[in-house]
Amino acid sequence: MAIGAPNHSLDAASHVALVLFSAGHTLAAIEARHVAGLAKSAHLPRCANAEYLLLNAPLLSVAPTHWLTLQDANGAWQLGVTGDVVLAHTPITELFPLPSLIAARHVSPALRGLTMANQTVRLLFDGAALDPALTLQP
Amino acid sequence: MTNTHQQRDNQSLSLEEALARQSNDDTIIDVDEPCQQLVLFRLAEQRFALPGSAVNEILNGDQPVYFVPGLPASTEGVIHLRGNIESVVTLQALLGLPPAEQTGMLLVVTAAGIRSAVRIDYLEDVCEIPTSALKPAPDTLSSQLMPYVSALWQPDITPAESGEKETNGDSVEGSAAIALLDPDALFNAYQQGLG
Repeated sequence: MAIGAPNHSLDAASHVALVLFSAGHTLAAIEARHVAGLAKSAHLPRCANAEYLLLNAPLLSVAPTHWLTLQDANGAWQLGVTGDVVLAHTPITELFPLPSLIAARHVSPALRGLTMANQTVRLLFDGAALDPALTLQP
Repeated sequence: MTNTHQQRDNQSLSLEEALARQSNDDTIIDVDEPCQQLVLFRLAEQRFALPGSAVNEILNGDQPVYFVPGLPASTEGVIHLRGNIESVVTLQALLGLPPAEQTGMLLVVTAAGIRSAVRIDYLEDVCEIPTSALKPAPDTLSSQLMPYVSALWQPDITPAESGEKETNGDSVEGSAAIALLDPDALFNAYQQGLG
């Protein structure tokens, strides 16, 4: 896993460690404590493509380039992501809770918040709430 | 003193009288009439209103809206507003209206414990009207509008005031009834997946 740009102050109370990645063309992140590993290929029996699992994308626009290992009650599983995978200590001032209507209408019940940096939105998902067997309803 | 001056003196008021008259003038205004502030706007050429108490802010429609994938078309995305993130929704789908073709304006609305920006086509006015001028929504209202309209207001516009042509009897172009929307009902419906 690559290490993100160094932060000048890594006060644990003011930053959250996030694993940044893309789901297709969408920027996304999961709290680093939910990510147990990173692989170039899928090797576990349970795996899911992030674009489908997080966004209910009907067609996979971009094939996964990396596979994050996550844990749930049934053991380890892999999440296929695209683009660079970066560990970043994000200042809490850059994290925004999800507006109520977005939370109510988003296809993924695991969406928890957003970050905005450089006029770009990144979706923050709860790694513990992801279920690789979940079929999302639009 | 000339006669003219005497006549003027006879007509002029003492300060006491003037203040008393002013005081009397104040009582002419019926301040006890309960009023409601309305934000009037248009959506798909139809006239609507929201209670002023529910509208926190009116923004230009050209605010950058950040698209959030995984949402229905009626949720445009989010705006960054002074350090906070607000959702941006459109009402057309919920109200059974054709989609908007202009950026219009954004009303930041709080209702049902939810705060969100709502895109409108055109802001007409912000005004205060007597509550008695609001009439119950008629049964003839479309079934899609009925759950969200709490009252109708027919503005009193005479042809002379509007500068528009009278079309029939007492109806004047541009004075169509305004549907007062219930913001709680709108946001509750959105939360339940409608629209």
